[in-house]
Amino acid sequence: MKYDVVVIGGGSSGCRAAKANAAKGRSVCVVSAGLTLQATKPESEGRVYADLYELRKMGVAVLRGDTVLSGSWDGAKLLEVHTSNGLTLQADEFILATGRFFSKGLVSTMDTVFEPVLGADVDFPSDREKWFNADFFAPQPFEQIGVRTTADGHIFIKGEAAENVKAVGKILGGERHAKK
Amino acid sequence: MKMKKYDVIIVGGGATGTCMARDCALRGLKTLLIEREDLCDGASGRNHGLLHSGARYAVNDPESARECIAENLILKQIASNCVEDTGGLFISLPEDGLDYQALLVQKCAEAGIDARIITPKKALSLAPAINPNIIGAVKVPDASVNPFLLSDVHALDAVRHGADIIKFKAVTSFLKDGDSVVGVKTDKEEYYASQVVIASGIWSAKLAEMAGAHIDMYPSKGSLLVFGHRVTNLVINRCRKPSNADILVPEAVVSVFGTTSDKVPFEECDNMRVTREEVDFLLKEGVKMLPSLASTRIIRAYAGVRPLILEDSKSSLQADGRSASRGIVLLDHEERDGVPGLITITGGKLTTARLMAEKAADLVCKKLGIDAECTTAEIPLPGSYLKRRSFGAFLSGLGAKKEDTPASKTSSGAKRTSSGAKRTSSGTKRTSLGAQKTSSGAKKPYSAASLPVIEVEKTVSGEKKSVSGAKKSCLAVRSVAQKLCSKETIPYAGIAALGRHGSETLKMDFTGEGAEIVCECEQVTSAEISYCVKEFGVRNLNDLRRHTRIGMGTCQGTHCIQRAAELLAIELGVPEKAEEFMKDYLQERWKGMTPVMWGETLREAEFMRSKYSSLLAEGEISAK
Repeated sequence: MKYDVVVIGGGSSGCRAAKANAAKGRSVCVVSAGLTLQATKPESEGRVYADLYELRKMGVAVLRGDTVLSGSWDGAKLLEVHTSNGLTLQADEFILATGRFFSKGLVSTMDTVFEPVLGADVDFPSDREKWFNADFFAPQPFEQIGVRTTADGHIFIKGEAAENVKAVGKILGGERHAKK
Repeated sequence: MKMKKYDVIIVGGGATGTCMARDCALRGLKTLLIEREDLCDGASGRNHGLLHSGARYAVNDPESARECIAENLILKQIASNCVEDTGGLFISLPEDGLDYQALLVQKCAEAGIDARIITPKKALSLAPAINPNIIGAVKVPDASVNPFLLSDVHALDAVRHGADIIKFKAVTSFLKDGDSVVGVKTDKEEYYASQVVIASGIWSAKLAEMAGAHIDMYPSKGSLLVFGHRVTNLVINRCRKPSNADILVPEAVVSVFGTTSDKVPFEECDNMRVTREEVDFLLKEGVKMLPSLASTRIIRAYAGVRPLILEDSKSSLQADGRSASRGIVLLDHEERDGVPGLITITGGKLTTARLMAEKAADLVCKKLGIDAECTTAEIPLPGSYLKRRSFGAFLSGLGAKKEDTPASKTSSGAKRTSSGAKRTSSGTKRTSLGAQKTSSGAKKPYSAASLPVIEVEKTVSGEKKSVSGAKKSCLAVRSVAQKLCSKETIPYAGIAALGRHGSETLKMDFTGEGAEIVCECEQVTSAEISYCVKEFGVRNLNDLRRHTRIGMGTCQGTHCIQRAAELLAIELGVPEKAEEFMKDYLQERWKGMTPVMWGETLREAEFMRSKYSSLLAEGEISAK
């Protein structure tokens, strides 16, 4: 299947990106891991149903309960992504909106943080003791961890900027996410 | 300034102190226990939760081993609701060889510990998560014990036998008459006693110093990791010389792995943090015994401090403290330092706390010239079902007509009596730790009320409780719980409480909102919270946690804290404090999560922050 834009992740940022692209008349597909679109915050929960309704009205394909597992590249260009339901989705442009740790957009181990879908480069403090603040109420460094991007939001793969993959939402890390 | 006079004052409300309070109260002494924080705030609440069979000590310290197995069997009897009789294994990894196993089995036999060699295949069938490459296994009667509840029930029984317990008050100085200690002073009050007993773990050193005596102590920090579910249903020990990181204990819905053993400065004892190196080490060693630990979520890390004694120990001490005797140290400061009226009981371990108390109380009685036998090993603690076989009697009791008058009926069916004890039928005034009783009742060395509560009190309100549809879901739970449900006494929601509080659960009011679950992970109901607030006296959620396990499960309170905070605030009559309770407890949980903050715990942390930033006012949780 071929779309103009494939959005990976059906959270609030993914939906916003999908709507913006669909509004420009592009064909859009959203892949959302959950059966409903995902929301981390309790107050967002009601909104996802509204989003779902709106996206359908705009003709956006929403693949619920499916997950993007990997992508096929031609150099710095992402050609297509493969989902757990066995679909191959091609697109001119891809948007990575899988969120941070809770939604598994980023995965951490004892000594590293990685982006599991496309293997995007992630900036994080190498010492895991610097990932958190001992005060629960203080700003937490792990909320600033995100994928490295160019000025216009393109991700890097092994140091090279991807031509047609942008990241949006929490996966960008706290400050950059908030600015959007 | 008020003045109060006791026979004995015990300083420290940990395992030893609460056992001691009960022992003294049962012997008819006018007893006061003073604890600066909540019960079990120190090492008594920061340990493995392991009821040793003694096998761990059999090779190096036969005396401790014998003490352990005796106490192990006693606690399984008198505190059945605090103990989960899991059984334990000693597994030999290929690099350990089998020499130690042979020695272990021989030494266990000498100490009277039932240790049997089983095949690795059999061991794997009992505990599929252990390393499949093990070359040998020994089954021992280790068990899991809830250290918080164990102290709770001891304290409860002490109070029910006339002891006074003052929590949240620190002893600021000792009252002296010449060289003699004649009492203690808190910030506002003075308490006098013929004997003062220090049972304050590592803090005993400082207290003894204050009283004019000296103990050379060794704070040995032990760090532990809590894994998110029961990796095994048995205690797993590594079959080699006692070492670091060699024991896993399943407890409630989690597993605890440890420990480390490092000397720390005294200043650190009040606020210990688990270091990165300790976490890495524990995990590295743990994976050798149980490979699945590598991928099991670690929900938190914590540390306690062992009160090891430098002098008076039988063996010379090595740097790691492993070879220091874990034996019981009873110091008579009159003989030792020329400070009459002062005794210190320390060393030992959770498993032998009752015995420590017995020894100390014997000495107190000797000093006071009182001839009273110790009965703590025979009389069941509140909530205990006694032996399994007497559970039938308990159940048939439930079917009997319920009465509204508490503690006034002597049960003829009571089987356990102590030889030296005199039985009286007078009812003991029901008191609770929460009520902070001021005047202690007349001396009652042994009364009907000290018989198993289950057989004496049937005070659940007369109404039949509806269990409705929930009754049907009982099929999946243990037969014990099933029987209770079928008696329509405790609803399905109260089954976890039954596991924790045993027959005391009958005192919980599950009507109306009482049966509502507040903490899903540990299945804590509103009724259990009300009961604990009333019986134990709590100031905040962290205190409540010790009595109920609220927020100690896999979500570390993320889902329940706000509900629990509100309920507790209402229970305590301070609804305006709900937010403060919530915030304090979030910070407390956070402390234990940070040392292991990666993987699933980091996910949980992000969710916790996200959820509470929505619940709390804007800016309470700062993003930047």
